[in-house]
Amino acid sequence: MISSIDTRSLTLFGIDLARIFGQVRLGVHQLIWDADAGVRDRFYPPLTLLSGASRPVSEARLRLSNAIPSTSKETVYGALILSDDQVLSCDVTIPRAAESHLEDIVAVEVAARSPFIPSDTVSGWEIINRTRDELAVCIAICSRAAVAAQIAAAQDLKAPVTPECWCCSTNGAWIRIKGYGERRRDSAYLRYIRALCLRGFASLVIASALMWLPSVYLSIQSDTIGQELASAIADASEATAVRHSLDHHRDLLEAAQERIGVRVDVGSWLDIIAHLTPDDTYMKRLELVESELSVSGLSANAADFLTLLTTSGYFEAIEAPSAFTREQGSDLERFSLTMRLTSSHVKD
Amino acid sequence: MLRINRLKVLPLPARYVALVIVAVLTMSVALNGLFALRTYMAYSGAVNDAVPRIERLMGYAENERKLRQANQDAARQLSQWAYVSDADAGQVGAQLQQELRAYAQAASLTVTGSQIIQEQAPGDDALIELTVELKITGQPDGLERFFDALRVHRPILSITELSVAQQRLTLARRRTQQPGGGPEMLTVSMRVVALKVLS
Repeated sequence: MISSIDTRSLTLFGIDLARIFGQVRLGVHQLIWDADAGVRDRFYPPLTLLSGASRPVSEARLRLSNAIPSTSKETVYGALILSDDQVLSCDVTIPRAAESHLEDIVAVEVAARSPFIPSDTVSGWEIINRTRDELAVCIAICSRAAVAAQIAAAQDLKAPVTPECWCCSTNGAWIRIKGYGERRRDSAYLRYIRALCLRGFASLVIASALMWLPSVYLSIQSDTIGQELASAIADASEATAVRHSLDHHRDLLEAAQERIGVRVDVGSWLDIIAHLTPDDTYMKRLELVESELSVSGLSANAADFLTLLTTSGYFEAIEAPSAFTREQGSDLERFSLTMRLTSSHVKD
Repeated sequence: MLRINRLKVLPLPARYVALVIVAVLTMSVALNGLFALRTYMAYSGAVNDAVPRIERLMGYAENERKLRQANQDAARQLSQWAYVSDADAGQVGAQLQQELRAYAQAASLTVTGSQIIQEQAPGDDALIELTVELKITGQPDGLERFFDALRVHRPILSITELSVAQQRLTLARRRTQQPGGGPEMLTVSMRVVALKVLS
């Protein structure tokens, strides 16, 4: 997918996307093919050695199988190992940043170092060491004719298809010569990786779908309950209206009781005042506003009357706004008093 | 497949690609799980809300008769505290004024003035206060009978302001009145308040 995108002239806000795509492509390639990633070691199909195993093989990519070659074409990948005298190997060190151009660099190096004519030259390479800034690449060069002769000999051994050609460099690295049977095995490996990714993706999709199962179940339940609710609303519409009316009446009743209930029962208060007032005391004026009461009149002893009111417990904050004065021509004192009805007696 | 220590030895581009793949997969799974959980909670909330509501509605339907009875009782109780008729507040006020005048006349009091004041009950949008200002004259026992009539009136009436004063007699009337004969006359001014439900 990534390789199908032409990234040569892509930029975004001045950023060179071609470089980023190149790095991504390199990263994916490294993940699939690099020995450090471990993917290739785990999933690369094994080989059946046809000839030339002259020393122990530790290269995971070779993964030699001891099984007898099967007749099934899909499962058998043959390999032959070239003898050391057929191979010219050399090490090349390149900057690490040039890794994405490694194929081109190797091609130039092979062209420069090969003792064979170009048409008779075949080669392979392997990264043998990575440092922070550099890559050490081992290149193996050999003659196409010599390799062809060895393959011909191997096919005499009933090899079903063209085998891969491997050689061991002088520093012990196993290198595959390109252009022979490796393409089949690489394709099978990539197919397997692709299938594995698809399987993983499918598992992810299934797991995601499973996560939604409770929600789907609840949504169905919610629909059912929604229908039940609609039916219940229709069935109880009259009762609901009555209930709302009841709530309304109760609210109004509470509000009315709150407003009227705290008010003074005037008749009762007049009875109390009449009862408390002695026979020698006369009211000339009485005013009641909410719970504030003011009275004025004549009394034989206004101070005694004031004391009487204070000790009765029905009134509080009793004050005389003006002094008691004796009425001319009589023994009575003129008084004027203000007071507040006690809150405990305000209600009915 | 790729363990942490293996990640460390990977070349840098491969490491970035692996991290991005892992991050994208993890985020997609986490976001999917989060959305699934949110949807689940939303449906769960809807179901949890609907079930008790259905039961409540069914309860209403089953107890409709009792609800009607309770509603009638509440309406009856409310009519003891406020006028609940659909009539205009002005009409009800006028009716109240007529009733108060009738009470005064029945108590041998003379109504010298009356006025209707209609105002909204403070802090309450559903109730109106109907206030009647009354000025009456008469004897104390008549005033007592008038208050008794107000006390038994339904809806309940309350007196918010009251002013009682001895009536000033004219000189001619004072001369004609025999000493110690007959009770004194009172001048009474009051504000009587009733509540009305806003129709």
